[in-house]
Amino acid sequence: MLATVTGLWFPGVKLPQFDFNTLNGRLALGDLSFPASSTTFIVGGIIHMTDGIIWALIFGLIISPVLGVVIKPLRPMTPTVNLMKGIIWGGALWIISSALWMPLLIGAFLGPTLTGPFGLPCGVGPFLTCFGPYGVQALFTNLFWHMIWGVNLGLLFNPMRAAGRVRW
Amino acid sequence: MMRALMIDLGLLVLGIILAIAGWFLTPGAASFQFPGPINVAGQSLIALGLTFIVVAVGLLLAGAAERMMSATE
Repeated sequence: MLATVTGLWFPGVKLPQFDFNTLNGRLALGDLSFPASSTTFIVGGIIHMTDGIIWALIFGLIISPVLGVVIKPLRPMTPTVNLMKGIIWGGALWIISSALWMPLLIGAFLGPTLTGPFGLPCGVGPFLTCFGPYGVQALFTNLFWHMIWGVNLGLLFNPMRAAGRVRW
Repeated sequence: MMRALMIDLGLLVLGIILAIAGWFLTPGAASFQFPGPINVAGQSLIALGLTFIVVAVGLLLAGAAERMMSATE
């Protein structure tokens, strides 16, 4: 939720707005109108926040324990190590978002409208190297967005070690 | 512990420098009107700088929590 809201504030620091609510709503409802309706924004917001909760659950139940087993320096369950795991997971989701979700879904759906009637240079380029009027800054802004999510998750998720043996 | 703190502060300062450089490279005022100012290098620097700042602040907070935990044990 924190990252979702922050994405809406990005133009305040001269960055492209990252309105994942509207993007998800457009995909779900097939809304190609500009500006998108408030229903699209709300439905997309519910989808996006549910997404965020599911990815956080996957992190807590699978990724965080597995990283602790696979990468030795990430074994201690200290706040800093938990934060590092959150940052790694945020980075992984940035790659998934930039390489798959944005170009393959948003690009396929919204791309023809952006390049056609709006005459923008591109829809969504490979690995988010362009997004409508924006170039590679969209990729780095997406990284910033996912780091906010990852840092937030890593700081909040601080599991305690079980009293007995740790069984992962 | 001191070394980790210096690395965190270095990351924070680097982030602030990149973000400020990007801000001045990007022409025009910040605007919520689509598409707003567009500059590939400037906006990339702002995004990277803010990323470093977020990570550095997170590391500082986590480090502080660790020191507090060890102090109360």
